[in-house]
Amino acid sequence: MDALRWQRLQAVVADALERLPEERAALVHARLRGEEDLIREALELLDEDTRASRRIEPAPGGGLASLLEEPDRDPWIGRTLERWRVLERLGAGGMGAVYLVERADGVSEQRAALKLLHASLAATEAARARFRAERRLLARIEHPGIARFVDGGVSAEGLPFLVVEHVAGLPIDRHCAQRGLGLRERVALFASVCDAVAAAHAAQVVHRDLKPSNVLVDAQGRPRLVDFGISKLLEDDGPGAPLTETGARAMTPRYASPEQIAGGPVRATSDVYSLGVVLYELLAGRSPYDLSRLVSPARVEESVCRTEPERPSTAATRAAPREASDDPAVVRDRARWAHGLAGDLDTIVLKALSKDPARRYATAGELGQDLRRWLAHEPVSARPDSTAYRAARYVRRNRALVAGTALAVVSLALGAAWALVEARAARAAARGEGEARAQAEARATQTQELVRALIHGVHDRIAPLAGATEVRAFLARETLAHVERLVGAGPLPSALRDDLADVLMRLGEVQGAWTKGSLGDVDGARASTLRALELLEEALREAPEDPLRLGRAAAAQRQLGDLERIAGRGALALERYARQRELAERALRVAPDDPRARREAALALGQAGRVLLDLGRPSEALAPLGEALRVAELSCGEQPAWSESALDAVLRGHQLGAALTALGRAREALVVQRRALERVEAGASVRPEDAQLAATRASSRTYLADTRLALGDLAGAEVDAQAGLEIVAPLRAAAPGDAFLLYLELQLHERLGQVELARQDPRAALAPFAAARELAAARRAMTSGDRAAARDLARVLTLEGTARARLGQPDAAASAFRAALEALGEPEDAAATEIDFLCRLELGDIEGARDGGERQRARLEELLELARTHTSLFAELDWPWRNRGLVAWKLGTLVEDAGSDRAASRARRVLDLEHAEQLYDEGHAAALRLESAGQLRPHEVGIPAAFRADVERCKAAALRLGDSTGS
Amino acid sequence: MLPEPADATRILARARTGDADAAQELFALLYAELRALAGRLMEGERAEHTLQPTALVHEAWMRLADAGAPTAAEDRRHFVRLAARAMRHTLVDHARARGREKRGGGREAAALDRVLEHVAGPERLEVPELSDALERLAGFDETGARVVELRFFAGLSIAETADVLGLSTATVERTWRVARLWLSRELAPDAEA
Repeated sequence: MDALRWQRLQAVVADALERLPEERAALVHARLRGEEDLIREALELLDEDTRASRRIEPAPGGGLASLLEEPDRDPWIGRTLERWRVLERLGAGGMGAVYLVERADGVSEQRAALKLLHASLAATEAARARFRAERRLLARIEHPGIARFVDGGVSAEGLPFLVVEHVAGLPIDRHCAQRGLGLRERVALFASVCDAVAAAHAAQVVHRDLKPSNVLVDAQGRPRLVDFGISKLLEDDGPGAPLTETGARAMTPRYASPEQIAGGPVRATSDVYSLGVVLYELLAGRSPYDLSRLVSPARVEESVCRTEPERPSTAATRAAPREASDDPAVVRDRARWAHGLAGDLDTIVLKALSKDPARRYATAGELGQDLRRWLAHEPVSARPDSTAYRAARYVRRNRALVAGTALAVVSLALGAAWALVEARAARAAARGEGEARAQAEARATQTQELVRALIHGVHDRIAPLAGATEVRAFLARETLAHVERLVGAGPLPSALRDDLADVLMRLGEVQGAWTKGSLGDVDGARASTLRALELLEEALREAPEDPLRLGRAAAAQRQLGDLERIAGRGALALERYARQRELAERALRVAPDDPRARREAALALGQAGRVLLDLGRPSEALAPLGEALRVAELSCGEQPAWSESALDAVLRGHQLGAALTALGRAREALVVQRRALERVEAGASVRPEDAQLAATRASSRTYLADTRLALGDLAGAEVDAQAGLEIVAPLRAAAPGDAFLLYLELQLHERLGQVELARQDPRAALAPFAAARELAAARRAMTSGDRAAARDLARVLTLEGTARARLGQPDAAASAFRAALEALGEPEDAAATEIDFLCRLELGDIEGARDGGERQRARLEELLELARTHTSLFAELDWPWRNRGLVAWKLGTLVEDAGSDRAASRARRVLDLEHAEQLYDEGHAAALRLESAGQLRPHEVGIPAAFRADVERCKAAALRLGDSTGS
Repeated sequence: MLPEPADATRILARARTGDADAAQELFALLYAELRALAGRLMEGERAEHTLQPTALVHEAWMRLADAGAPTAAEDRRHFVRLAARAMRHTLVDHARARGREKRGGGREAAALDRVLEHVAGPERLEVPELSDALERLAGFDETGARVVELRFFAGLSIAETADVLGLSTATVERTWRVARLWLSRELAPDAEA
């Protein structure tokens, strides 16, 4: 349907709808005489009208009329509600509008503020209940510092309203700034605010939304609390009462307490916290938080619940970034101001701002008293946190790091033990040969036990903890030092040799096998693993059919394969996986039921499939991945909700799905990816503390987002990527040095950017791409020899460049593409090749637009040649064909233009036209190839036909020109 | 989570002048806010109630325009257009998420269920499919798609829709009537998308 056709159709159908059903057909025929397609379409639409089902009805709504009309046309102004005449609108609160009113019955000249629950909200029971509650609560409190409840009623339409004392005043922060109040004046003013809040607390009411705009100060300098809209009775009203719920979201995050943010129970101490924030702002001239971080729920939580505010005195001295709340009085003389704050006032404010409610002032009254003590130069009740308390908090917050410290102690003890053993051995050697051997064996046994304890007892236990990466690195280094000394000491007993191989394998894992939280040291990892393999092979020469050692050797081969894959050496990786499979099958022949050997055999297939995928051979990858998935799923059935097999099944699912997507079978891929996600979610529900499992969850989201992107489900992809980021954020915070988490987060940002690009919104894509680029650069900086890291950086830069190019920023785009090419180096596999080509193509477009003509033609010819090579190298992937078609088309139009240049000789023009025809034909073939493989995207459907038209046009033009030459 | 009022007013003003970043920012804020507000409005709500999207949009506006700064009429129209879009994305994403995982989700999800139920109406329309069809409609009839979005996802009346889009009520009425027929045919079980 095109817009013009639709306009005609719309006009006819709309007119027909105004007739009786039996007259409609005649009108359609008369208006669209002879246009059968349009007539059919119109009649079909009209037919829908008479159908009873599927009617699309507007959601019945309460109407937004009041929102859309001009404030000065507010219908309430001038009306009388019971005894009150509405004078003007003061503003709009959380639930309705607030009006200035006066008594209409002439009893007095009293003016007041009337709060009217909005019509569309009056329909919800919750809002009405909150409104009623405010009335009830206000009626309970009588205090000069709290806007007095005056009256309440119901409008003629049934809308409830509330009349409270009208406070003509400014929010407390603006009052302080405008009057230029000094430190002591501010503290005195705030102490009376505390009195008012204390009065509410005494009446068992928590305000729950204390912020400067709810603390108004009148011209006489008297503060008044307003808006008890979301306040709550301290004691529960009994079951079913609406206000007994926490209602955590109904608050202002900048002033809310950690427990409110977290949705926990809200008590008087929550108001103390909010008062603390307001006081902090009044005294330090800035917020205790970085306000730019208060824009997303996750960051609010991080800032409010975990970030410790700096001392107000420190904050006051620091040049604040242009912040709305910057207070001139504070700014004017920072040093003196800070001096006044330092000490007791700092302590008071920070006590009110304790994350732990139990450590705050119990009531607002106590806070007020302490402020008055400070004013009177008396000792205050608040005490700075003690060292012991801070240490205890540190331990709670950094469990993993503390575990690391404990490990260091263990390790030192180990070293001491070693020295002791050495000394004894030396003494024994001095005594005699036989005794020396016994001592040496004892030494070996002891060391073996220590190593075992270290690796099995400590390493394995901390591995799943968030933040354990650095501890494990430390452990790895220490262990390696011990192992080196052992290996250097001569031939080893076989049991010790096995243990050492095990240690070396785990070391390699920590160094490089980065999905398990690693250090990104690929070369070091390969060295350790190769050493482990040597030890195992030595053992296998002595006992060739030992299934346990065969299984271990297979695992070592796998680890080496993984490392080769990461280093971008796919062919070598495939060899390693083939050897892994051999070893595993040998073990299975000896012990057919050995689950470890069975797993290694399946893993060998799975990893090989993965490499084939990287190498651009997805159809070859399908069978091994499918088989590996099958074996993993079979083993899952025998095990609890989360196991090694479950992890295998999830990972194989990801890869199988990726292979299917690469083959244009994204619908099937979606099924596979969803299953993977379900499995990992089920695991996470039984093991919520497992950081590795959580990372896998995020990884599942990345794959799902990919699949949805391929299906064009952008909203879905966005949801998945967001969900992934929500999982990754806390993990990254706990383990900032973890290369795999970095990788996950960058992938997720990248997906978000891709969604925006696909939405044709390159501007919105810039921020996520920039975030991804920073992470990719950080990851590359922390890894050595990891090709994938370089490729990720290049890919993100390429996407960023594409977004820039679409925004019409050729210079920024070109430098991104050049940076991408530089990061990429020589492309070694399909994915890298695709990026490389894309960069060259885009750079060609940008530079071609500048130098045009012949150079552009030469460049495109070069690119076409390259694209042809790619279609033969990676024949079953879609992008080489797409590129070949695209370049053929670009070159074709250039050549066709040359052929249309009347200044050229006819013979030359005929040649050009024929050349263009060939190029279009090549593009046509590429498009057909994509079409037959099911790889044509929805918006590309018309492309084969367009190429055919190009071919015909050139052919006809060449013929015409040739004919006229002949005649 | 909506920004502080001063920021909101600035963002609105920037969005109105065609600043795409500001519009995106506002949209993202609204998207998050609508979900959160749904949860809030559910507080104490009884099971038989459904939640009206208009109430949500209204509450979102009230929070945005808190502090009573009167905001220009064009800002408010712009806001409603964005809010309708945010509402649509919220509901479609929620429906899709529901399709993926059948259970759970707490008060917010329960609230969105109600809104969804309210919008889907007695015909129990598949909201994600409708939204997809709407996307196709936008391909050749941008106005029609906007009208449906405002009417269907934000619950605006014909007159309100006309005001927000700056069209006559007659045009909105005609556009709406034909667009819904087209959509209804797109949603026919035998129609292959």
